[in-house]
Amino acid sequence: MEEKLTDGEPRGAATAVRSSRRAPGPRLPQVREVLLMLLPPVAMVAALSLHEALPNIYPDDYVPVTYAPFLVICLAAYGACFVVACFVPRFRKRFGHYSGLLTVAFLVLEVLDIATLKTGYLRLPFMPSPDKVFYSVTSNVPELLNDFYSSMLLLFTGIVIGAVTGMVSGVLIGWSRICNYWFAPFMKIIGPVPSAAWLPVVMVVFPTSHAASVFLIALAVWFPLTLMVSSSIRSTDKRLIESARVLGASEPYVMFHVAIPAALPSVFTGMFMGLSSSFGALIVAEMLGVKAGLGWYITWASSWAEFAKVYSTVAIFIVIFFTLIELLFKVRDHVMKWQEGTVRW
Amino acid sequence: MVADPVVHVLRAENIVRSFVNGAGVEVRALDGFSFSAEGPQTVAIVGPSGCGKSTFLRLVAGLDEPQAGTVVYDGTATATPSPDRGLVFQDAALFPWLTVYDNIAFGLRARGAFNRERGLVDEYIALMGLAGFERSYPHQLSGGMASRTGLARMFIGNPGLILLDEPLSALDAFTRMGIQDEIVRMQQRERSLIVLVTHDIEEAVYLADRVVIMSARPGHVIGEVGIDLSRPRDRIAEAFVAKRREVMAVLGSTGALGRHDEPILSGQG
Repeated sequence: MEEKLTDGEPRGAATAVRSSRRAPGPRLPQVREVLLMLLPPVAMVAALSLHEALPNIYPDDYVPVTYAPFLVICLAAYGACFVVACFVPRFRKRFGHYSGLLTVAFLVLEVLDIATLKTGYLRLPFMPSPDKVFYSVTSNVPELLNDFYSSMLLLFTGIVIGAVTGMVSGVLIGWSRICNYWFAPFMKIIGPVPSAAWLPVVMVVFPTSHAASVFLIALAVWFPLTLMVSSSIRSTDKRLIESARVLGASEPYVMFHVAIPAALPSVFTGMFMGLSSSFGALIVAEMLGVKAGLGWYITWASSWAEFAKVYSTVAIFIVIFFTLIELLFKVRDHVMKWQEGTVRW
Repeated sequence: MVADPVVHVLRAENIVRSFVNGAGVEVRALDGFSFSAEGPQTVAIVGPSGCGKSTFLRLVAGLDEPQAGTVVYDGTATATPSPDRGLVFQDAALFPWLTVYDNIAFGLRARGAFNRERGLVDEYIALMGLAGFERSYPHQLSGGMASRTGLARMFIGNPGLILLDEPLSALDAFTRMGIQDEIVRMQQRERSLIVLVTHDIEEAVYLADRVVIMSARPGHVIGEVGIDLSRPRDRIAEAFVAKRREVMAVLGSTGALGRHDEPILSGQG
């Protein structure tokens, strides 16, 4: 519980005073912090030495090209961050936080290297060495970029259409009794059906497989957004709406300036859920429908038993999806700065 | 400020308003309630919980309609809300996504008068002692500052009739006294008609020219005490205490004070 404040003093001011007392200014890192931050480069150097020292025995005549440069680049990038961290305490705190995780990540990578390339304990084609996985990216950049572009075009077209229609239908279903009567049941029936179940139907109904895929992705965003926005608008604090009406606001003004801002937290929850299921819809659409994009590339590579390509493309998907969700969180934190103690997912 | 030449008149006759409670039972909040007030003055309505005081204010504000009887303000029935009848709820009901400045400017923007009258916002921020808090969000405000913001948001529309629904009941005693003085000052400045609903007899006697006393549910008027004390009022003067005693006596005479154990109508003050 926050301490009781005297009248006239905003809580923000009190917190500002308290935190400035805690951190008097930039200070240099302590020995313990530095040692902790040196763990990941130690792991990287260890991985690099083992990789160089041990002979490559599986498969025969394989010459690794990407693993060592990858480690060197990581080491250089880490070194740069380390220097910055020494002088910027705020960055140091966030950067140092990941020391343990990074250390383990590089050790695991080297264990994989030893289990594949160095001993042949894990067998091809299912378990390619890290070197082979990296090589599948560096040797294939133009095609991957092409598929990346195709996937993102599909994903963003779907997301934008889904978000716009979801907002409109959410507001209408939440605000208007008539729209609620006619469209809410429709939403509740269509919404929970997973994209994969729609696929055969939409492939027939839509003229092109691209249009069908856009529809699937838009649907995946539309449903949770509509549901969250409409339920949130229906449960808007009545006193806020009445205050606005007493202040002379017309019905449309109340809708745009009270009901919709009050529903903003739910808009972001709905977008979060919608984005998550749109990723699923994208993969389904590309693996089974359209003949382009990263999802299609995964199916194609696995049919040729090129699992290095499968793994690297899955990793690319992970990076894309993670970035998009983080981006959504950043936008939310900016838009919702009026909210007390922003909820974390 | 020039005195408002119009004398505002509020008249309510034989109002009946009932609600169906959670158990499906019809409960009469107001039964044959009549009330009138006019001119620049402050009328306080006191009464036990659930006597329909807040219901009456909602009827006057145009947020609700009576099942029988009429509420007429300056010659027209109060069927819909109007910015000329300002209402402040118990905990100010500020818009949490707007800063203090934007909360106060809300009414001007809603009526499309912001560009013409934007100077008023700063004027009322200064009047209500909110300078320096313009950019704070409601969750950063203390109860007193939130209450001042709510009052400023209403006063800026210069309503002829001001409805206050227990506006200060959530505040501590010292903050409350400060804001009571603010309300007295604003009333003298704007020359409006104030109807104040409160549980607090001292607040009623301190602010009002008349104190109207209501019975427990179904609410109707059981008495009235005129407060002809000069302002500023001294809360511990003999005459002030005598007025409090008078109000208490009317409330006590009907047994209204001893019935707090009764289940109150949910949502109705």
